[in-house]
Amino acid sequence: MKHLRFASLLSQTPARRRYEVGLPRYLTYLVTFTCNARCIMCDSWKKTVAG
Amino acid sequence: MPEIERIFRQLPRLDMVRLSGGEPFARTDLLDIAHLAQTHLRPLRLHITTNGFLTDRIVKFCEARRRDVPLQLLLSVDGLEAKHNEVRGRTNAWATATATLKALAPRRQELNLTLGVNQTIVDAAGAEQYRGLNDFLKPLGIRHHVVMAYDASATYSLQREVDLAPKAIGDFTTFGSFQREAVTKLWDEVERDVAEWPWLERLAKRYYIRGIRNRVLRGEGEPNPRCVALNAHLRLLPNGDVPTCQFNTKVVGNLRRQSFAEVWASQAAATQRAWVRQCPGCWAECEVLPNAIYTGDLWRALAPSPGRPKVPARRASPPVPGPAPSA
Repeated sequence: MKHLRFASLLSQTPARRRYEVGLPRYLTYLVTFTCNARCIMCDSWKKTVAG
Repeated sequence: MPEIERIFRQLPRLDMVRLSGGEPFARTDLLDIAHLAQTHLRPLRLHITTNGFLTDRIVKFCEARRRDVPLQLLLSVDGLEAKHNEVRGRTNAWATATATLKALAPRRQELNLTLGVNQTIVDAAGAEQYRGLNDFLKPLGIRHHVVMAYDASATYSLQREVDLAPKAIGDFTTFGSFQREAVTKLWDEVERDVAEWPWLERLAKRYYIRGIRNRVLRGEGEPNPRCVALNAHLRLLPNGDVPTCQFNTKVVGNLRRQSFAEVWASQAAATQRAWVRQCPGCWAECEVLPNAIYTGDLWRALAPSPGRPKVPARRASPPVPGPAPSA
């Protein structure tokens, strides 16, 4: 299955380079903005809405 | 949870699902979310970024999750004890994160788990702690990733729908101030350590290092892969909003209220894709690697040909101060 996915990745590459719209293959899901850290470089923990 | 399942059911099969936050383990139902992702999205790999504070919860998650999909767990550790506690704003940040690392490191194979540490360099003092942290991680066999923090991120901004993307190719404004020598030394050290990594991860990290050096030291944007935001790369916020990218949180739709097909084919998405085409490009690793992989730029880095077109490199904001580098 991995090989098939890699083949489809390669076959889609030229279209991605031309900005042709395709379906997503990679999801970044921020499941919450709530945070128990108080990082100096990030305001996520200051957000009043967790999500 | 039914809402999340309804969203996942509409998405295609994915290569990678990255769960992040905030702190993802602050959610008590993260295990359910991971199960749903594995069931409906069938990723080749599940990735979770965490600060590692909630040791017991994280270990239990790793034990209870379905292990048919490898898990890549990346803990944020930004220096040795005092520095890390300062950056993370908690007096027990180091103690809890290292307890998590020590609990999981011996069980990686059993748990089908890859364990890494991500050090975000926020200032010169953080850069100076690279070697010390590396020495701490090495006996545990934990891979040490390093990134430099931008001065701002739209995703974590208190403003809603804000565009903080670089305004010129090569633009990279660091969170803290650095001397040129310190930055050069840091990336020289990282590059030496990366030489021991497996080839694919080494290739990806060297690609990132090349771009960060060019941007921070020279104000040059090379490499500069085309961006796959709102294309191969879908971002989803906790409330179901679909933002454009890490640096532009203009929302193109909401997957709690609309179907994925409707959002993906919407005029709002088309408008923001046009914006993406015009964007000069960022160098945040979470955007760079999908861009490099899905446009093939990462593979082109393997075999640079003298004839291939070069990305125009131009000076943007002044790079970090210091004497010019020797040849």
